[in-house]
Formats: sequence, C-alpha cells, structure tokens
Amino acid sequence: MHKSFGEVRAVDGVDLELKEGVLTAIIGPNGAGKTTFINLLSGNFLPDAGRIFFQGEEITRLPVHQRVRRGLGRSFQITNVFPQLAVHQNVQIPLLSHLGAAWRFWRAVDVNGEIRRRTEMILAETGLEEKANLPAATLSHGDQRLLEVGIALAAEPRLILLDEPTAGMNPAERARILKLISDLSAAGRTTFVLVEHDMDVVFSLAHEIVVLHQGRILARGTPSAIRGDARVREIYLGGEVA
Amino acid sequence: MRALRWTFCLAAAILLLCIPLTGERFYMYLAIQVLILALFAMGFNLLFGYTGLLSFGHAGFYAAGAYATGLLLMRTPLSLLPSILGGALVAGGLGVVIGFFCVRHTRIYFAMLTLAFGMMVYALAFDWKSVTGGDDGLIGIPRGSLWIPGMGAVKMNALWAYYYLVLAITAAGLGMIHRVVHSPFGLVLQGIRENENRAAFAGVPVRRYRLAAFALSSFISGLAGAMVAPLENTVAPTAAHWTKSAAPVLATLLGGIHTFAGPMVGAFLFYVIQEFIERMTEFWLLGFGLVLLVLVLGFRGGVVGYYEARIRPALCRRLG
Repeated sequence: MHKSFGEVRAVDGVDLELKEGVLTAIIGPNGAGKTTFINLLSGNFLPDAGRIFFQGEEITRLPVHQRVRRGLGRSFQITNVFPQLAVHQNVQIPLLSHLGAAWRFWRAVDVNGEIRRRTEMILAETGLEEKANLPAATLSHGDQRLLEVGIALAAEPRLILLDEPTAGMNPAERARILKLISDLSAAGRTTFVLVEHDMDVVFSLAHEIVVLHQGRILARGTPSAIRGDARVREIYLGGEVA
Repeated sequence: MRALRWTFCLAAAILLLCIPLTGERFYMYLAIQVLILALFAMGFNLLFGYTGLLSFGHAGFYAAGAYATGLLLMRTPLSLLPSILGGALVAGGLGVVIGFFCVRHTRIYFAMLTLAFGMMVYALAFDWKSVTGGDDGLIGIPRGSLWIPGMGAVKMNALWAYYYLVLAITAAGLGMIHRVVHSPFGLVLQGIRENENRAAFAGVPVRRYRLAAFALSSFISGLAGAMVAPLENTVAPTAAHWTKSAAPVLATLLGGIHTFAGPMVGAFLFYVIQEFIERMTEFWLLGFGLVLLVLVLGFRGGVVGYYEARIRPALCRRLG
C-alpha cells in the first residue's frame, strides 16, 4: 500500500497480512507511517495505490461506517469520545447502530431491553459502571481511553485497531487497559492490532511485531525475534531493550 | 425534581388554555405569534442544538409551508387541517432537496449554503408572479373550516377558535420533537454533533442522518409557517427573507441551545421583549440587540440553560 502527503511518502509499499486471533503490534520511530497505515485500514484516508481486503472482501474504498458494519473498529491516538453525552450514551450510539436500531425515532432509547443489557455488559467490561451517568468529558484521561475502547467494542468488531491505547495513562490505568486488551484477545472474539510506543506494553502483549521505518516494513516476527534483530536495534530500539 | 418540571408544564398549559377567556384579541394574537415562533425555533433547533448544524435559511421552509398552505386553501377544495399538513409536507420535501446539497458541508460552509438556498426561495417567491403573486404575495387566503369527527365542519373565523387549533398543532409538533430527541435517532444526532468522526467510527452513516434531521427540521418549520397563512389571510415574500431566518436563531440563543425547552422559552421572551421595547422606543431592534448581547455574554446557555445550571440546583437544595 502507498500513501503520500505532498513529497512525504508516509506509507511506501507496505504489504501486510494480519491473521485472526494474533495480537499484532506495529512499532517504529516517529514518522515511520504507523498512524497513516492505521488510517488507511480504517478509512480515514484512501490509499494512493494498493488494496485492502478484510475477511476476503475488498474494502479499499468503502466509507468508514461501512467498514465498521463489516467488523472493523478502532480507537484514536487523541482521545475521541462524545464529550457532552453520558458515558452510557457513548456506548449506546455504536450499539444502536450495530443492532440496526438507530433509525428508530419514535420510542425512548431505554425501552429496548437488549440495548440496556449490552450497555451494562460493556460498561462492566471496561469498569465504568459507576460512572455510567456522568458526561464523558468529566472522566479522567485514562477512563476516557477505556470508554473509547468500549465504544469500539460495542459494534462487536472482528478486528480492532488501537492507536497508542496507553498514551498519557498513569500506571494503574495502564494496567487496567492492558488487562482488558489481553482478556478480550484471549476470549478470541476480537483480533487486536495496536500501534504503541511503550516497549513494555508491546513486549508484554503482542504475539507478533511489525516494525515500520520510513514507510516500509523493516522487520516482522515474534517479540523474541524482533528483540534479537540487529537492524531493528540499530534504527529504533537503541539501548532501550539491551 | 420531576415534580417541579411538571408544575411548570401544567402552569404553562393552564395559562395557554385560559388566554382566550380574557376575550382580548391582542393577547390571543400575541400568543399565536409566540406559539408559531416556538414551533419554528424548536424545529430549527433540531438541526442546530441537536445535530450541530447552524442554518441561516430556515425562513425558506417556513415560507414554503405558508405559501403551499395558502395555495391549497385558495385553489383546492381541501379543508384547513389537510392544507396545513400539506404545506408542512411541501416544506419537508423541499428540505430533502436542499438538505441533500447542504449536509455535504458543516460549520460556516453549511451556514452559507443554507443562507443562499433561503434567499433563492425568497427570490422565487418574489419573481414567480403567476403562482406566488410576486411582491404582493398571496392575498385573500380563506381560513376555511376544520372538520371535526362528530361535529362536521367547524368555522375557524373566530380568533379564539383558530387560537385553539394553533395551540393543538403546536403541542402535537412539540410532542413529536420530544419523542424524536429522546429516541435512538435523536441520540445518534447528538453523537454526530459531539463528534462526527467518532460517530462514523461507531458505524453511523453521518450524512444520511444529517439529511434526515434536515428534512424533519424543515417539516416542523414548514408546519409553523403553514399556520401563518390562514391567520393573516395573506403571505408575502418577507416570510422567506433572511431576517425571518434570524428569528429562530435569536429565540434559540435567548432560551438555550442545549436544552429541550430553550427555544420555546426564547420565543416567548422574543415577543415579550419586542412588545416591551416597542412601547418605549421605535428603535426596538437596538434595544433587542442590547438585551441579546447581555444574555449571550452573561448567560451562555440561554435562560433555560442558566436555570438548569444555577437556579434549579439551588431550588432543589431548598426544597430538599
């Protein structure tokens, strides 16, 4: 896949197959093209060249909401929730959309038992039950990030792209979100792909690591293989994993 | 604090039902104006407050409702209520067409597009003489009669009778808006207002929802305009002028954008302030501008927003 911004080749010939159930981490130095790559997959940008297939179907030019319908979810590098809406409403919007109930305009939202049940389930998974009625904007940074994962989960995605899920979190919050990701990944319903700067997170979670550098794949393999790869150490990891 | 809200609603309802008992044409006429603007502003706010799109062209739909109803009453044998509903439907249909182009853009681009389309409706009303009567407008629109099951055709010539009809239609319109904003559809609209990108990533086809909100908002605005034609017996192109589009914007800002009741309360204040200032000075717009300035700078969420943020919590504390 290719994507350029003016003279900058952000993604320059990345060819990648993601396997179901394999938690993949995409790493690389700043400007390596990680976020651009995620944005191409999720439909924020269209690629200049190349094609994207998801579960055997080409989705290269599908609009965002249709990718979501097909089971592709994501979170963002910068927290991205519905700030003035209550936490439970944040989760209800993707739920309604996923269940095909969002066009109903003549009955109150809460009348629907299925919506209520699933909302509670997601709030329980993300540990936000007690804050269900607060506006999302009043939550702590870490809770907002958890809520964002909750919003993505509500549409029951088969593949979920997380862009720096732990950025700006304190250690306790980080532990919570990592546990959430590894539990959900182990449950097997959802495959995770994450872009991450924090090497502890990457090496503790990922089954497979893809290293991007200057818009290309530099290396790909298991965490131990990547740890041992001389080129990766030279360009990116430096002394950090020594 | 549910009880407090119900008390307010009940008091307002009793007051509105009692106005014709005073026998004063002035109060009835003023109350009709307030009701019509309230419905207009509530329809407008469906798009502004709930979906996050500021339209400067809603007079176009208001006028479409008024003209269509006037024409139906003048040229077809339809009675009053079907004519009013027909007018609203024409406005809604126009909303689908104009909305189709407008919802491709947001913020200032959206506002400018709606302004342009609104002025096109104005130009059409002004120039299409054979249908709209040009700058004279439609003259001699009959008020017609209302067909009520069991009572047959009831003449609506008396102002009090028409007042009750306007009250009933406005109440029905407000009830409809209330249901819609509390429905899944209404929640999704608010999600789009809050964060369009996130809404798309929640699987929401954003543009289609915006168009639906636009059409519904046009329909309600058209319903408000439709009630004007039989009241005044005439409709002129000024109904479509951009200054008319400003009325729901101002009423909504006065009352409060992000509250359900805001635009209604704003419509009431709009006319009360206007009447009050007009008695003191002929420069009523200047006075109105000053009041608006104070309200926008001092009461950010409008009067109802201020009440909900400051006064209600205090009342709750005092009442336990």
